[in-house]
Amino acid sequence: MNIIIKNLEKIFRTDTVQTRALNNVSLSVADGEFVAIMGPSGCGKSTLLNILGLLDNPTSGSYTLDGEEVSTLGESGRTAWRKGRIGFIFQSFNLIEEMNIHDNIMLPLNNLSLSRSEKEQRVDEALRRMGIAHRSNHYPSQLSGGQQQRAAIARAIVARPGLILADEPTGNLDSVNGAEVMKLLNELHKEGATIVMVTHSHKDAVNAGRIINLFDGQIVETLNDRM
Amino acid sequence: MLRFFTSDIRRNLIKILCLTVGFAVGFLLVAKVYFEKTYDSFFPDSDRIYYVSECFTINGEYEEYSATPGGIVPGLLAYVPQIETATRYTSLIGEGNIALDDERTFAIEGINMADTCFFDVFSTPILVGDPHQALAVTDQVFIPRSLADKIGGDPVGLRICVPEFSRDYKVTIAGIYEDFPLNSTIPNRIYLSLSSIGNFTYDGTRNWVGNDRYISFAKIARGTSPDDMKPYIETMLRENVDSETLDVFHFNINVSTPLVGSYTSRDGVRIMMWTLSLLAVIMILSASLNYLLIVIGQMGRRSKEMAIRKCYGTSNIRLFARVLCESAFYLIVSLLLAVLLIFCCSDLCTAILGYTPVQLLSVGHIWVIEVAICLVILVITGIIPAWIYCRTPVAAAFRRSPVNRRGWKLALLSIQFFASGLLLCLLVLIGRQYRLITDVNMGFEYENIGRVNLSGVPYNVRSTIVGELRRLGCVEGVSSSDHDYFFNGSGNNVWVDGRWEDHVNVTDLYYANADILDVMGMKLTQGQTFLENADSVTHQVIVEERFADVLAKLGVDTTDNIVGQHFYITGHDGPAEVTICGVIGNMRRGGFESDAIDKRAAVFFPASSVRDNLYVRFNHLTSAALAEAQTVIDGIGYTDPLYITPYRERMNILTEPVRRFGTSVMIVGVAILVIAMVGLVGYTSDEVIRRAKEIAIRKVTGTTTGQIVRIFCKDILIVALPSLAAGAAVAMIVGRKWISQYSDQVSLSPVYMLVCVLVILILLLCVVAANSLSIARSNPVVYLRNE
Repeated sequence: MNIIIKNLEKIFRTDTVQTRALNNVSLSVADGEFVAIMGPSGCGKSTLLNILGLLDNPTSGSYTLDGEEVSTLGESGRTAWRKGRIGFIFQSFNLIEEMNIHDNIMLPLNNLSLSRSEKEQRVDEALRRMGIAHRSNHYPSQLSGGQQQRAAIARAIVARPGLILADEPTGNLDSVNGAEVMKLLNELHKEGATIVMVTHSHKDAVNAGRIINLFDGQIVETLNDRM
Repeated sequence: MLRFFTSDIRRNLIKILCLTVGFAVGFLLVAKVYFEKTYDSFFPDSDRIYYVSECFTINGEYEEYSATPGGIVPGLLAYVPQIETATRYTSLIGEGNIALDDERTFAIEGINMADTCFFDVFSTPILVGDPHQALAVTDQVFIPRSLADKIGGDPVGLRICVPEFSRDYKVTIAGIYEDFPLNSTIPNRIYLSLSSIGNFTYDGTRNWVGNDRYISFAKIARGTSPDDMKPYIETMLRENVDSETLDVFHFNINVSTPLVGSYTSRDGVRIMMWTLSLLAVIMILSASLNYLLIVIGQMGRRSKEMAIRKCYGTSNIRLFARVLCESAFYLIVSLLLAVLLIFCCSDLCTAILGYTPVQLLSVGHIWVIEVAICLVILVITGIIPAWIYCRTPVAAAFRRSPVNRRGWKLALLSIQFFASGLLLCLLVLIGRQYRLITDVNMGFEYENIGRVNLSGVPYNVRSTIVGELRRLGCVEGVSSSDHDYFFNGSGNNVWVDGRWEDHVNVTDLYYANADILDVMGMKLTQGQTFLENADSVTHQVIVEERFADVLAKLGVDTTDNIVGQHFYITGHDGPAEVTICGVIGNMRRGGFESDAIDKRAAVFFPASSVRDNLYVRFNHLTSAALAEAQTVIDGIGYTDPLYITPYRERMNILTEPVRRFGTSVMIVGVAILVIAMVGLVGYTSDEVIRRAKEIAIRKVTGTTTGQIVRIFCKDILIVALPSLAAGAAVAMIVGRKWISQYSDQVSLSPVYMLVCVLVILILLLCVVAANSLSIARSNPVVYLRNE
């Protein structure tokens, strides 16, 4: 999935304060590319990732996804765009506590027009691939952090999206589980997925083909071909 | 000190409001049920007071009358040793006015004529006078304290008259009795000595058979069973009643129906008590459960507070006491507000329940029941939350995720949905039944009719009034009769060809003018109306169509026209032979309840004089037309005021029980629906907060706004649908029971129930959708950022 953003700005306003989270950011991500975004806390990494994932709209600037301008889409338009095309991985996993792992992974498929058997087949496939098939009927609270993140990755890939956005995917994991997650992301990348990952970890970032450093809402450095 | 109240003031105010409404409505309903339940039970030895009734068999049919001939009670006292005392009374006049010699007038409930033992059976403090002496002397009365208070000073010795009856006939106040409580079969009327009866009508106080107009009671000795008295009663009858009456009609006297429980065993009263009890329970339960629902909603925050207190050494007992005190605070505030609400809506309460709140809430030991209810509510609203707080582990309380007590909340909500469904379905049923009975063909018209009560008005004045009213352009016709057609008439017996033993009891409407059929819109189906000035020429009668059945029972061939048939009838200066000159369609008298309706065939006689009930038919009964007629009546210059009122008002008296019941159900229904909605809003708000992260995740994965709203709606639907269906089913059962008391009943079609359920469902879903829409539309980032 091709991403092109030009002169992107995001300003958060309250009654008294105006915060410029992104300032004139321009960036392009090629189809199948693995990009890591780094920077100190509050530099705008997550804001950029949310805009890339169509969770939020920029205040100004242009954002084209696969050639379509999406920066001006309304809530329903963004929802429709995300459906089956973008997968999200969060630092805190964001699994739904009341649902078992199977149902959590099934969540993105519920919004797609697929047959029941096709959905089940994809969920089983994702569970097996993440090595948590035996945990299918368990609830998130019954799983370790690493297993929860693998479930979250399964949920992100189950709809076979063209773009995977990962917000500090190893932030809540120990080194062993963190390495396991990065290994999975690398595998997905090799299979052709476009991945944009926000991270604080240089160790994780080196897995990406390109590292973009953000500071005070601006891209201050781009490091290519780290692999 | 009140930090627990001010910290979440919106929800806490809702708690108080719901409890206030619950208390106010619930307490009044409970008081009303208690009022009805304790009917007649306040008399000393009330369990030993029995009705005396007569029974006989005519044409093979057993009949029992609550009234007896005048000689029965003296006979019982003379022959039956188990009877300690007994009394009989009969009505002289109903509601009206009395006038003193000084021309002051006072409204009274009516005048009964009673024998000397009346206050022995119905014990009440005698404030002045000796009822044994006073009621033994002709033209002496005992009056209730409430009337004595209105008269003021010492009323004993004053002379009173009833202007409607006669200004010349005066009686003397000989004593004062303490009013009977309102929930008494015995009215607070003026009691005139029974020996005065000869001044007004035929004196049948010693009759063994016939003239059965006396309501009679006996107080039996302790330990006596009604069966013990039967041999003595049989002896009494054998020695005093002719053998034909005993052997052919199997005439007998029953002293077996206790006074206490007699009123509450009536179908209408029983069903009303049952339904009001159900409403009271639903109301109080809904308010309490809603309180609990809000408390559970607050548990996420408060559990943490309690956990912190536990960390710093507060014992479970202290925590328990703390929560209980808070509940007691809400309870007391709600109770005070409920009392305020009751007295602010006193007129409305009186209109619905028939008595003022003070009257209802001061009956017997009602306060014991109300206190018990408060304690039950304290248990529900105080002990349950306290128990939950105390058993929640500290670690669990400190977890970040909001407490999920969805099962509890939904269970509580489902009870409220059930109640809402039940009451709305019931309300629709009552509304339909009300419409049905107000649309029923009464057999006469009443919409454009005005009525004037001419009791006590001299005949020359009556004629002047009729003449003047007939001159009015807005008046189509004027006629009069002895009978007020909405109500039951008295009974007389008819027979043919000297076969008295086969007689049938019919309703005798006595006398009416020849043009009564035209004025009242009564449909003549056979024959003609009376001949003009019929009093003097013939013994003609007009009968209802069902009189043909009476004649058939008497062995008359009724296949064709019954006009011209002859029969005999009692009650008209001895047996009179009469001839049917006309037949009209059946009328409906006595109301709409099956046990109140008078199904006997009616007969009425011709009169040329103006009778007590004057009916004025207007072109269109407008307030202007009524005012014009009233001006004419006032212009006659008669000493006492006479009023013309729409005849429809008499219909309203009959439909009032249904209207009152409908209003009660409506008020409780609206209150419960509001409480349920408040609970639902609270529940949805809690759920929206609790599920914010889940909704955000769903949105991230592509779930649309509509789908998210549907998720919330589905959750409620799963609970609401079965609850409402159960409510509708119970409404069917309650409704079937309720309408069974009416002779005309609406169909219990499930379609109406289905519509009610759908209406509530739509309402619920709108509330849920409105509440969940904001989060469904919100940016998921906001909620994920918090993670």
